[in-house]
Amino acid sequence: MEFLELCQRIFLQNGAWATLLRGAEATVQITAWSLLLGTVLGAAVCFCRLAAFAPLDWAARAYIALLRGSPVLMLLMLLFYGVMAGTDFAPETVAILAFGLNTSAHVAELLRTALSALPRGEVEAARTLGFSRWQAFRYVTLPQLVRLMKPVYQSTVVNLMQWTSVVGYVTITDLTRVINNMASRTMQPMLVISVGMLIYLLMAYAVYGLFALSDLWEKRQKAGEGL
Amino acid sequence: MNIKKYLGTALACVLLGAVLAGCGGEEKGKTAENKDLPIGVLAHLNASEEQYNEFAKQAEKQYSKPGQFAHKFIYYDNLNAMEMALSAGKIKEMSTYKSVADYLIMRNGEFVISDHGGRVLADAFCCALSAQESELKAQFDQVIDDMKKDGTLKALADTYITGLKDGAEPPAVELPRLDGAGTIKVGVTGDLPPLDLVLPDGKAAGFSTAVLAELSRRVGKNVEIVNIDSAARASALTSGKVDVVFWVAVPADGGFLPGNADTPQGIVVTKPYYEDVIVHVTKK
Repeated sequence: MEFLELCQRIFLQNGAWATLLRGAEATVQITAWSLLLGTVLGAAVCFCRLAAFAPLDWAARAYIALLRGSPVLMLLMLLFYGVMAGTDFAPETVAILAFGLNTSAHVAELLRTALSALPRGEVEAARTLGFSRWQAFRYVTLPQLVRLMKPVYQSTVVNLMQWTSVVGYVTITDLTRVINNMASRTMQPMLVISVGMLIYLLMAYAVYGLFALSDLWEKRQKAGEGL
Repeated sequence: MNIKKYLGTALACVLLGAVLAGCGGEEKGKTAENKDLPIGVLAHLNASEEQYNEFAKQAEKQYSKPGQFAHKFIYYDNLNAMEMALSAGKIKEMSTYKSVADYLIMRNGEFVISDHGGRVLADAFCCALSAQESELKAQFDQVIDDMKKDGTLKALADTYITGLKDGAEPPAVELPRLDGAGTIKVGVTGDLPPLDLVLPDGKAAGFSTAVLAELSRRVGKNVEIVNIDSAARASALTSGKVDVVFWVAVPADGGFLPGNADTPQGIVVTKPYYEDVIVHVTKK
């Protein structure tokens, strides 16, 4: 019971739970926007990477090599305290940019490998059947691409969420920062950090849950179409 | 499918528990016999670890019984990590400030201050500013002097440090709200209670924060507080993203290290507003 009282005192009293929620909200927000930016940018980079025009391909290769091969914390620090130090961008914006850039490199590679796994003949067949370029992509490539990408993409999302735990370096109070502050104030780091880990775990499983739901939805769709 | 998932999660939790418990259990036996365990020290911001090792060696000679210490130190970025290392038996003692040790012991019965006797070292608490803010630094120095003279610093220390009885939650700090005044951006870490901490509601508090609120009020400025990881404080200051951070300086009369040994290029440090002795905390 003493343990429960301790937990109650640390995590519930005086609005501590609300502070935890705000921290988690910051983490989720940065993750979501970075993911959006990273995915869109990643698709563009992948397009360049597969372009027939060689310089574009090389530029994309360099971009991917640089961003995939360097720790995102360094990029974040360089952007916030160096390149963009003179600007008035909010730390959150800079963090989204840094994590978005990093994610885009991963997404670009992910897209490229998924695309290379698709048989080329199908697109050609669709084209001979009179599909336009766009239609062939939309109805033949994209559905398969999404299915191929999904398992790795969800790991990317969860990884991204975990990487954002360093945004405390650029004056953002995210979940990790809240947990650290709480651990220091209560002098119970073991307990508080364990709970922090559990919250991250829950959020990760929420992501996996969303993906599982989308799988289920896809199956229903198919059943509805009678396929 | 679902049952598998639940089982997986449960298994992960059990494994996690086993790993956590394993770490603690295994180390306990070792602690008793191993006298050569290192001492934990909070990393200073700029002086190198080699420099501090040298400094610590000299400082130890001043204690009564030479050879009492292992001349080995491990540097930690924050108190949490150091406290966990002590709990797990990775270090035999952690070196910290008296006020912090008292705060820790009040909340965690696992620990106690170990008395080595002999010379007592102290560090001074200051504000650090970017060198471009020399005007603000001069104002701060003046106000710190005034606050020393009129007893404000003493009163604040009573409220925020010595007044915390029986593990009571530290009081909130009221920040100045002056219409039309400029704003000083302060980076706090929340890592050094009761001097620098964050309350359950997410607001920064602690003695240093209270002193800074009073300083700004007296120089006619508002305060905006941002929470920052301790390792990023120097970058934040030099890049101008924050104007002030809390700093600990080695007193100039220490004789081992110059007072500014830890101060990076481009940063200036105010007069000290508080001094605290260094103590060693160990497991009961």
